Amino acid sequence: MTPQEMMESIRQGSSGPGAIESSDMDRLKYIVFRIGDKPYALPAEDVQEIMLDMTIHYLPFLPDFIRGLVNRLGEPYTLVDLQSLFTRHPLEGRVFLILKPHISKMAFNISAVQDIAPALPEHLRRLSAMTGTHESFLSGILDHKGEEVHLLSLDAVLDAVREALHA
Amino acid sequence: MTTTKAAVSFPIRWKILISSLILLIPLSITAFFLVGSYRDQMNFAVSELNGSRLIRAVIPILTALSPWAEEGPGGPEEELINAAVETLRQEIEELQTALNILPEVLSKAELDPQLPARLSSAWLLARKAPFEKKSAALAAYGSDLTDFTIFIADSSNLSLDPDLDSYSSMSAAILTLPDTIRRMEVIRAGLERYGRDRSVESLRSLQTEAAFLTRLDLAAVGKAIKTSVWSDPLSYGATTGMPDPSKELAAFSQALSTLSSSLMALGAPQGPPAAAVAAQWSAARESTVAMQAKAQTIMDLQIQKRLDHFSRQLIFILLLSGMTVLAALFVILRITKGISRSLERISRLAGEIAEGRASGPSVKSSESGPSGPSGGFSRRISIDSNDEVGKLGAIFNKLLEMLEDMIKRIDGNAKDISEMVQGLSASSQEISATANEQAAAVKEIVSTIEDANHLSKNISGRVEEVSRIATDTKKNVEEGFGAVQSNIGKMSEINEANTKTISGINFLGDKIKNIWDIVNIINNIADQTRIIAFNAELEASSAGEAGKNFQIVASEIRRLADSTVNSTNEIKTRIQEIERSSDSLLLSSEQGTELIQQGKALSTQMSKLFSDISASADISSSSTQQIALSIRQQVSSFEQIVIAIKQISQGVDNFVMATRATSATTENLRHMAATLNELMKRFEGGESK
Repeated sequence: MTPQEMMESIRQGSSGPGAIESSDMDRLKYIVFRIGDKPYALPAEDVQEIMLDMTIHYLPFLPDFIRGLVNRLGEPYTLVDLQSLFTRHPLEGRVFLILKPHISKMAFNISAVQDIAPALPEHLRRLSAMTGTHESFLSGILDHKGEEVHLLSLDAVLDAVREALHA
Repeated sequence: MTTTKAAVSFPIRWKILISSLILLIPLSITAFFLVGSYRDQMNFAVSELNGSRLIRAVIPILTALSPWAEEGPGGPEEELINAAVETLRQEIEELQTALNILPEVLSKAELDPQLPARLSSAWLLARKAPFEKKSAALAAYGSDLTDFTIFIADSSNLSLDPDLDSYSSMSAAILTLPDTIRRMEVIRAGLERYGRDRSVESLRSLQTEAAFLTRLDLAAVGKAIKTSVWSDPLSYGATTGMPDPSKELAAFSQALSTLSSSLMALGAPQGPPAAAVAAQWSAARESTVAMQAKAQTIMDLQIQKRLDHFSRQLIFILLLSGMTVLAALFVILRITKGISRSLERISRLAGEIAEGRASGPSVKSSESGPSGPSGGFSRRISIDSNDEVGKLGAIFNKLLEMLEDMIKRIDGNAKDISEMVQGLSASSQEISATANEQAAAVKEIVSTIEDANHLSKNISGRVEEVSRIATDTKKNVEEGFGAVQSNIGKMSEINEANTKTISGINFLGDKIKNIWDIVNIINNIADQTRIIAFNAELEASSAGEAGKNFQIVASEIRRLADSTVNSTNEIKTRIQEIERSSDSLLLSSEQGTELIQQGKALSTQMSKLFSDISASADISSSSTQQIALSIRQQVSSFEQIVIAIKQISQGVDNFVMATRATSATTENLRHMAATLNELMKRFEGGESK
């Protein structure tokens, strides 16, 4: 879409090739991202911001999946390496998902953001089989453009972090 | 012993000398008389020459004197006359010199073989200096020569004896007569002229002639002729048969005197008439001619008498020499007969001994005397003479004694020689066998050496060929070395080009890295833009309905970012492909460089190898040349060895032949010894008889 077409679409509101259907706004959006080569998804409403190439301030005496702290607008956020949490293999990713502060001041280190896609309820389904040792951190499966994407349970992750920090 | 008595006791050389002297006497006498006769003939010829020369010389001078006598000294002809006289004087001196040689030559000549030549030289010298030229110049001046002739003849002292003087005078006088006849003709012409013109000049001319006739000393001419006739000390022919010129002389004198007087008186008032003068002239001319004829006859007779005298002289000489030669021969024969008789006896005895009649009866001499013992060398000859033949006989007897003694000793030595020869024969046979073996061995050596020499020559040829090939190889190596060097140069150039390519590729790589950095930057920007787009969508979704338009923008931005990422990914892909190609190219270039380096190293190594090969080829070539030289020297040495061996072989062969000859000689010696023994037995048997 050219800028002119985009502006025209905005001006027209509902028409045009990039028009967002109102129904789209009613769908729950998920941020589909990858950790390594596995796709995961989080509700978009839980993510504050996506950052790129943030400086990691490492902290000692912490579990492996807690890499350290990152500085977002002067506020420290705990950086969690989900791959290390899931597989105990560290991830050196460039992309950081910053959760909304009211959820937790936490950031996830991921490989890349794939999409922000709305998902209809029929696209969601429960976990059908155990897919490894980290299914406790998953809340379901999302069909995204023919691909099964694991929905990440934010609560489980947060609990694991808290538990690790208090340990 | 045979004895003889010699007839003469003088030594033979005396006898030969006496015989030679006896033979020489007639020869000397002959030579003496021959020389004397020849001298006489020469003198005669000289006098003849003197007279004719002088007369021919003086006639023109005297001809010139006539006007000088009339005009006195200082006349125009004086110079010519003086010159002619001077010439005559010189020629007379030359003639004097020539004739002076003759007495000296003749006095020394007896058996001088050079005599005829020397006399001939004197003769030629005497005939020098022709007078004719001067006489022709002076002939026009008349002649008056009688006194002058006699003067010249007397003053020149030309003769050896009075007879020659008179003969010269005679011949001089006789030679005046033709001139007188000529004057007669002049007078006749003058008379005719006077008869015609009766001029004073004609008369003067006639009187001039008359004056000449007056001055002509007819008495002296007659005396000269008469003297020559009757003064003949050697009796050439005496005066018998010699014509008497008195009558002619008297008529000649009378006629000339009469004519002269008449001519002088001619033209005078009382003078004779011209006709009478003419008649007198005629008579004078006739008498002159008659005188001349008579004188010439006398002269010819003189010459003939002299020639006859010389002939008689020669005959006498030959007869005398013949008789004396015969007498000498008779005496010589008598003397030599005695000598030859003795020699004959000696010869006969020697012949009998030589024929081996040692055992025969004794040979008695023809003369009486005791006969000696018969047989062997005991015979002797006796000659009672003190000359050389007698001595020869004594020596012959001594010789016979020596021979007798020698034969006895030879007999003894012959027996010894025979024994020794037998031993020598055996030794020489052994030596001959050994020499044969050595000769065979040497021949084998020669054959072997020749084979070795032939082999060496083959080797030499092969080595020469190898040397030639080594030289060619060296040449090829040098060419190869040059090619390798050229190859190294080209490889260096390729290496440089490759290095440039590599540097270009590296430069390209650097540029690709720069592009890659830019692409990464763009990609980062695209990622950030995408992240911003995602954040925008998050904010838009958080904004609810109010963020709907913002969401559109965010979606577009995200799409743009995705498009940028896709483009950058594509660019990355292309860049990766370029990188791969560049890497591949670089790898290839590096591999090529490595290969070039390897090739260069190989070329360098090859160059070094070629250099080594070239050095080896040099060494090989020089070595082969040295080998060839050594082989040639060896061949030369072998040839010399072959020559030496052949010489040794030849020497051995000669030695073999010599030993064979020695064997043959010893065999011959053995036969000779046997023969000697037999001869000795014969002589011993004769003595025993």
